[in-house]
Formats: sequence, structure tokens, C-alpha cells
Amino acid sequence: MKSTTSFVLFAATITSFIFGIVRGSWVFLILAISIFSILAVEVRGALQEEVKLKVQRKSEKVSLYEDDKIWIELTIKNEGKPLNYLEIFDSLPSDIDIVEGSNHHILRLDEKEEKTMRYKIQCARRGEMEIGPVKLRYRDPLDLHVEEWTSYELMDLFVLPEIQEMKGVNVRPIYTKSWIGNIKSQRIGIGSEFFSLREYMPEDALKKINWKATARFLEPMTNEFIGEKSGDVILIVDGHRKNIIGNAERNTLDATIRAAGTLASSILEDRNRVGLIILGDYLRWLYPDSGRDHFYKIMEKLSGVKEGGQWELEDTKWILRGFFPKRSMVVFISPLLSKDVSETLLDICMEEHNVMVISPDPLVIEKEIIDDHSSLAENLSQLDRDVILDKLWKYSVVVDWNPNEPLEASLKEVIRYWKRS
Amino acid sequence: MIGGTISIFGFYLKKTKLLNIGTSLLIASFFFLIQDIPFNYLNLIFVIFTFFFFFGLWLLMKRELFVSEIESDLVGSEGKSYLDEYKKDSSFYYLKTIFMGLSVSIAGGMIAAHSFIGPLPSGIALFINIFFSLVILSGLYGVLFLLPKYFIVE
Repeated sequence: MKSTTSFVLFAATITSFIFGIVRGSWVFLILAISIFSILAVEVRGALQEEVKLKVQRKSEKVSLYEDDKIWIELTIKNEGKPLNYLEIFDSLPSDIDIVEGSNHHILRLDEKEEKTMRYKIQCARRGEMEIGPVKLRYRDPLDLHVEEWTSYELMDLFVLPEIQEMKGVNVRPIYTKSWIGNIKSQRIGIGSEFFSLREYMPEDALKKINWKATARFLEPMTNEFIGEKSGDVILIVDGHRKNIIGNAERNTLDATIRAAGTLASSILEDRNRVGLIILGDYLRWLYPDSGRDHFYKIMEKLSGVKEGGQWELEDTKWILRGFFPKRSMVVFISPLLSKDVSETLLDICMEEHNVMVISPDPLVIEKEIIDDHSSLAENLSQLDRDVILDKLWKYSVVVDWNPNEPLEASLKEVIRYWKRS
Repeated sequence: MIGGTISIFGFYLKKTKLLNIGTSLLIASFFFLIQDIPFNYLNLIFVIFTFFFFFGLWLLMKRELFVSEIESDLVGSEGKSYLDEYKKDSSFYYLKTIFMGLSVSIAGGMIAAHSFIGPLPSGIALFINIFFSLVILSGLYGVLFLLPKYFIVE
């Protein structure tokens, strides 16, 4: 394919020639010859053979946390004739920054030669990113012959929300299920904490026999332990437009998602099952499950959350009733900017779920992004918020969380108070 | 002057279009200025060399802009070798293009001039004879002594 430059040079040749003839000027005729000679010589810059290229992209992992860095490797193999001046551009979403190397190169590839370009990327914002396609362009150094191709070698990359470590506090459901976990239940079962002694039964394991008690009572006695069980926790993430405050960099939705990720990690580590309901652009949910794979499923769902205006807490009632296990712990994470959640939460409580509300404080975020705010408006908003929180405290555990501080600190304080009361 | 200024601005502002327009204006205005000079072999060579001088400058500036575009995307030294390789390759390519274009233009110009002015002055004819003899001798040297080394089968 000829480029614009070659058309311009050709037009200049014709113009100089006509001008030279009309004006009777030999200088312009020589100019026409000179420009034409360049065009003639540059025929060698055109691609003679069909180009056969194989493009492959590799990365260390397909998911990373916000602000993490990973290397991307793009390998190009020339399966045809030698190719000079091959320009390669790997398309990246605007949210991704290159911290080392480049996604834009110009290479020379001999026959059967393979070259690799590497670059390190960092992504400051969560989300599902698509890397690619790869744009390839041959252009001779004079820019007279240009050929372009696109290789649809795409790669999906999940930028997961940042999570905090929670070592000193565990969010545990009140109701436990039959499978083994870390929560001490009200029943006798498999566990590590001693509960009582009973008479030996033929099916009891020998290691359960309490030999001291057997000697004292002169008949075999067996230890009984407090059963350690696990439960189900359902996280409800509020992504409704009316509950979001802030800008693209700092907003309540990101704080909500980080809290959900942190809780999911901590609860799964504590051997409980975690389910997820997201009220965003779509209503998405995950049935409770446990394990590392399920954690990544949750994080992938959380990474793609976008604000929406259709789904509200009210809509979760029928999902909880129809699809999720009864007697679970429901953790509703929301900045609580709308007042109409309390009745729905009460309904959820009535259906034998124990409810916890974690609310990232929207006033903290608002104060950060607005320089000039009136103290009267701030006080009124705080008052409004206090009223909602007080109302919710009547039938749920409420955590008023400052998103600038670790979630663990706020949770620890509230859980200690809740257990005492 | 205006053309030159525009191309310099284009170069510093990294705008290829501005550079192209400036260079075209510069070449066109220069040829307008000298359009009435008498037609002889010396002026012919002068005109061709001046054009290729401007053309060479334009190529170099274009390449610098392209290299700086790729360099601006580059963070650290990873992959810098590809760019260095390109710089080397393209320099050779430019030299070859300019040399070949110049030769074709001189040959074309000479043929045209010969039919108008008549035979070349003896000094230039002697120079051209020596030049072409040297080209033929180097070609022979290449074929007889240099090339066989690449085809030795061990």
C-alpha cells in the first residue's frame, strides 16, 4: 500500500514538470527528475512477499491486585521472508500504566527469527481489562510504502480490589451448619475443646478414652468435645448510584468493594462459606462456597462492579429466600445514603438471618474531595447518618467504618461491644 | 525563510505534518528563487545537490521525530536495543536512497543537458570516467576476492 507521502511526492513530480514546461524553467524540470528518481529508487522499499507473522502474548498471571505490577511478554515470530522496519503496538486500556519497557517497538525480523518484547504494567484501578489487539505496521524509513495488520491476540486481565489483612478479628455467623469449621457450636462433636466425660461406647476411638478418669471410675470413660462448625456468610455489596459519593479516584463504591474483598478473604480463611450478591449495573450473585478458587471467583466478580440504578436491597429478599441457605449471616456493605434500607434489613432478620451492616463513612470521602464545605451541612449530614445507624443497631450489628483506617480496627471494636452486650 | 521556520517549528513541536509542509515550502521557494539561473553543467549539479541536501535534512528530521515518538513510550532500558538497531539500519537505508537517487538524477539531468548544451567539459568527463572505472574495478574485486569467502563449504 502506498502512503500519503508517496502520493504527495508523485503530485510534486507532476506539478514541477508542468510548471517547468509552462514557465520554460529547467530548474523545475530537474526538480521533477530528482523527485521522480527518489520514487523510482524507493520501489525497493515495497513489500515483495506475503508477510507471515505469529504473535503470542504471555504474562505471569491473569489477575493482580490494584497497584501490583506484572510483566507482559509479546513474542513475534517471522515465518516468511526477512522483514525490516516492523512497527508493533500492543493496545492497552487507558487505566493501565507502563512502568518499565514499552508496548511500542520497531523491529527487524530475519527469516524464522523470533523476538520478544517485554513490558511491565501497573494498574491503579480495579476492573476487567482487555489487553490487545496487537497492531503491526510495516513502513520503510522514507514512509512511502505502508502495510498494516491487526493480530487479534487478546488477553483478559482481572485487576482485583486491594484487600486488607485481618489477623486479629473474625466475623463469624451465629448459626452454624453441619460441616466442620472453626466456630464453637452449642453441640457436642468434633473439636479440640473439652466438654464433658461419658461412658465408653464400642464405636469410640481409643485415643478418645480418658485414661485417668477410667482409673478413677473403674470403667472406661470417653472425652466429649465441643463441636467446631462453620457457617454461611452472604455479603451484599451496594452499588446503587444513589449510594455513591466521590470521583473516579476516590469514592464510596471502591471503599465498599475493598471491604467486601477483605471480609471474603478473612471469612474464607476461617473455614466458613461465603456467598455474594452485588447490586450494581447488573444483579450478580455467587452461591456460598469455600476454598481458594471460590475466593478468586468472588474477587473477579468484585473487580467488575459498576454502579447501577436498577437494583436495590429490596430485590435481594427474593434471592435470599429462593436461592441462598436459611440461617446465614448477611453482611450488608453500604454507605447508607438512602434511608429506606432499614425495613428491608428488618425483613431479612425476620427470615432467621443474622445481619451485620458495614458502612464506609461517605462524609470522610466527601470532605477529602471537596475543599470548601460548610460545617452546618456537615453536622446535618452526620446527624442524619447517626439516626440511620441508631435505627439499624436495634436488630443488627453496625460498623461505622472510616475508609482511611483499617477495617479490622473498626470491626474489632464493634464485635467486642456486641459480644459484651 | 518562512518554510524553514515552519519546518524548524514542526521539528521542535514534534508535528510531522508541520515539518512536511515547512520543508515543501522551503524547497519550492528556493527553486522559485533560483529558477532563472543559466543552464550549464555546474548549475545542474548545484540544483540536484541542493535538492538532495534538503531532502536528506527532511529525512533526518522525520526519523528523529519517529524515534522520539517510540522513545517517549519507552520506560527504562528494556527493549532499547531494538531502537538502536533501527537507528543504525535506517541511517544506512537513507544513505543508500540518497546516493542512488542522486546518481539517477545526475544521470537523467546529464542526458537532458547533453541534448541541450552539447558534450561535457573535459574536466567533468575525466572525473566521470575515473568514477565509473573505480566502480567497475571495485565490482570486479568484490566478485573475485570477497564473495568466494562466503561460499566455502567445509
